Amino acid sequence: LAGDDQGSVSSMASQREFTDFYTEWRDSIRRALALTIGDITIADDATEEAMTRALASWAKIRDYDRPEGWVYRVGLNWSRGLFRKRRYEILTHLDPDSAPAETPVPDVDVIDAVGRLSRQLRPIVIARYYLDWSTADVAAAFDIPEGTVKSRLSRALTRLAQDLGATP
Amino acid sequence: MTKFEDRLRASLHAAAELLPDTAERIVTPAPPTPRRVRGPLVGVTVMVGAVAIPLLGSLLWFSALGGPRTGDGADSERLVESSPTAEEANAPTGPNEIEFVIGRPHLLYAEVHAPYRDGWVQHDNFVYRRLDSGGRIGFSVWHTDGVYADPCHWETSGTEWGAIEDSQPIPGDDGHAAAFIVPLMNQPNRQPSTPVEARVSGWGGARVELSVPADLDLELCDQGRYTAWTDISDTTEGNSNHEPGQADIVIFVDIDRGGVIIDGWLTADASVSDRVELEEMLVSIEVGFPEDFG
Repeated sequence: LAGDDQGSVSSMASQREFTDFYTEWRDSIRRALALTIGDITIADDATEEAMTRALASWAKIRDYDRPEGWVYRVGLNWSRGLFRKRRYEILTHLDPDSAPAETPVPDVDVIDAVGRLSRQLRPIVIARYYLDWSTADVAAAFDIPEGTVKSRLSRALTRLAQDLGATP
Repeated sequence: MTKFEDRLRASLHAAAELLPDTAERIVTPAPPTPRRVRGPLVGVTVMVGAVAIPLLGSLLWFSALGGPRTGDGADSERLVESSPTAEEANAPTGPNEIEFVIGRPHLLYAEVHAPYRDGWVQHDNFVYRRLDSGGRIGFSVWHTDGVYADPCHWETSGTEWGAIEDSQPIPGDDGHAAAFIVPLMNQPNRQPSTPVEARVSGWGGARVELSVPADLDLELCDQGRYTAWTDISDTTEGNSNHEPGQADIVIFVDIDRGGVIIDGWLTADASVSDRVELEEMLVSIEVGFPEDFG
């Protein structure tokens, strides 16, 4: 293939690659953002905004170790502007009774306690325990040292345990 | 993992499963929420592309935001709350404009005037050359009470003021300019020039030139903005009109009722003649009390 043909094949491959990325991560990021900020509607918009920016910057972020970490963080940054004057919400519209019989029921006390964590700690907890990223991946996603991730997780677990009267 | 961590993880996964699915929909790129204040440099949102993506049997359209760029060209432009639209930025200027008067409610103790120059326009406290005239150059006027320690992580880095170090005196300055300039020079990766004495309309002050890191990823900065200092009026989000590779020529004018900051900027694609034009504009600026200008 010559010149332009190679370019268009490359462009198509990049689009396919982004489509695969979007398909794989959109739903998880959306749910993670909802758990973090406590508002599914804003999480929807934040996800689409972040994914749109990911598409616009795909040539760059495709080479990141975790492009999904970039998207999660951009979604948080975007939503932060809407929460400048108030705290993140606590996810309230969960209805465990509506869950199908075979679906695990969340511990609402735990979800409420997570909702009471600070803005600094909550995203780290969600990334680690919902997205199941390693501490190294969380560190890469948030551009902070892994030691900081570990200390924040430790602090978060201690607070959650105190809140729930449990042992971390 | 401990039992407690397992409980946490299981609860989060179960809660996430309970969240409603959203129907696939036509995706629009950005909700109409003005939220960024980064000045006229990035004040234009231009739709540059649309890519059709077959997905889950649906056809989703993502409209990629783009626009004038520098650096690697990968950063999208943003909505700007108090910046001009493309139409405003390129609007023809009237024949009767004699000079720009940059006055803001919090700057009532001083006024900043600049002679009108063909092709230049004003929007609030920003004066800049029209966006279709080559590299982007302009200046803005500020009154601040704090310099962010880290402009990218400005929300959490805190501000500094008055961090004067004896080892970095500014010639001719009695300390007022250094209180602002030195923390600015200490911001990471700014590559500051040596500060020099400056005089504007007879007032003393200091001037320093700094750069914005060319590899800066604005999306990863707090709220997507690189903010150098606060705005004392709290009517804007602070001095956040930055993009990767930009150069800032910062002049602190020490007038006896407070400090006025003039921030001249030029983007990475600005030419030598662009810089000359900006410098000519900067030296023509006059600062004084309202009564000085009648």
